[in-house]
Amino acid sequence: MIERNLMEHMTETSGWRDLSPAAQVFGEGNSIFFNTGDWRSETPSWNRERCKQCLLCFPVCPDSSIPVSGGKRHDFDFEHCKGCGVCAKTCPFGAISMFLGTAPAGASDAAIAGGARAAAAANTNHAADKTSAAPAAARAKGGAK
Amino acid sequence: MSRRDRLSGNEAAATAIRQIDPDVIAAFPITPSTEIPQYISSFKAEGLIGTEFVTVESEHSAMSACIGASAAGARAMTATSSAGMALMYELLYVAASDRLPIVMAAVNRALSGPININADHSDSMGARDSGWIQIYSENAQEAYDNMLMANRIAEHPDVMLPIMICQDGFITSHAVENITIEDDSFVKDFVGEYNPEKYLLNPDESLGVGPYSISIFYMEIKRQQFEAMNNARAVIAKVSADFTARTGREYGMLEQYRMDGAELGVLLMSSSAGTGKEAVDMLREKGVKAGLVKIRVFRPFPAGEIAEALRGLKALGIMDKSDGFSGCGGPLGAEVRAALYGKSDNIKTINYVYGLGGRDVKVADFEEIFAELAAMRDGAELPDCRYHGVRE
Repeated sequence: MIERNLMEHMTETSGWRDLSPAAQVFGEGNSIFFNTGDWRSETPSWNRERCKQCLLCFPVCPDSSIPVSGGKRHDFDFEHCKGCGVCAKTCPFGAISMFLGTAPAGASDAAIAGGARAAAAANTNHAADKTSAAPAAARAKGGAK
Repeated sequence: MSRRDRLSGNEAAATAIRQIDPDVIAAFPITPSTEIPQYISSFKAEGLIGTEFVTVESEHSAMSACIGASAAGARAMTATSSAGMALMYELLYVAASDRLPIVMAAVNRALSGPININADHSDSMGARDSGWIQIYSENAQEAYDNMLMANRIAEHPDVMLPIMICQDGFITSHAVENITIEDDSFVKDFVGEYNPEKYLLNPDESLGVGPYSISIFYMEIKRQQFEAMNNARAVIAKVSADFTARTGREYGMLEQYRMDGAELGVLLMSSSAGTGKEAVDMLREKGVKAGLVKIRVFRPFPAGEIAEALRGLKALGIMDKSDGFSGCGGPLGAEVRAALYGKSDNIKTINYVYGLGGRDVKVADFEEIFAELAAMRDGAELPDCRYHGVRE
């Protein structure tokens, strides 16, 4: 019988015996191990000055990519944001704008978006809030049995 | 105590399903398997089974519902034929690659066109590479017995693959025969409970089934399937041996009929084997060294057992109840010849395509075939493949 390992033990170098049967996914929250946001075609940009911290945006995010702690939202989790734009439509204050391209404003493919992205970069901070990933990672470890 | 009763092949399969009492059945009616969900519906109405019977709107949905139910942890079954199986085609692969031990009562029928409701093997032969275990039944008794063995084979932790138990449409499914039916308590005990290690409805453990798998993982998952299908050989042997020990009815990967000292042989599957055996008996009485091999398990393919069983033959007729349209014969012809290659190269073979769309196959047909095999043994040049029983 095939030995069933935890997801974190299954890597691109694992042999067929060490992968879960039928690629079953054990435990929840495993996407924390993967950058699933690298294929988006549009990218949101957060304007901190305009944001009133009303928190209408984070519940509508289908990928839980708007981290919240201490009663406040932080910048997007760009490793998991798919660029759907629902948050931008929801924001009553125009604090979220969508730009063409995969990378957050100020990152490597800023050239694709041209001037618009450059303008957005001036008043936003796009360092991904990695602290928000910690609870998810802990959950994934606890959930995988 | 087992009892003798007169049942059609469909009734036999439905009786086995009633005795197994699976958690979920999702099925859509299609000739000639329609009676199976019909009987199940009656059993359900009469309170004889606790099964959740899902009356879906198509076979695509039937197999989808079985996949969902099986992934959830249920024992799931279905029944279908012909175009119904063809409509399931995409999902057959999903069921196998997701390693869901779904049991299908498959009643073989020709595929269109021309549209035809009678027996041949073109439906299940189209699914032969889908990753399902395939077992073929000669008569109603075998259809019943193979259904009783199906769950234990499919659900074995070393296997975890879906299985189809095939019988010939109308010839077997609608013909009433005297067969032995086991006690409900015997079946309950023989089949046992299904307790999957991982399942979606387990509240204590999270699970994802059927994820996207890119090229760095896909091939390893297929390699697992290859292993599971090979593991099925030992499991089929073990379950069949246990069944034989408890019922006296013998089942192997294949059946050899009067192959001792045989020089001329036919190899085939399902109902025509009964007719073929009658022809072999008649020929043996006349001193012709005739024999017959009936393949019971087509997937996994018993290549070694076939080569061993055919070893002493001088001429062999491989009989396909479907044309693969390769231009050089049917699937059984290709695979049996591959099994013989390098092992029994001295056997002269001819691949017959016969019985398509319910074309009747009689004892006289086998006598003609054996006469051709004798001529081939004695040096006559025959084509590699030809249709038998077709008007020229």
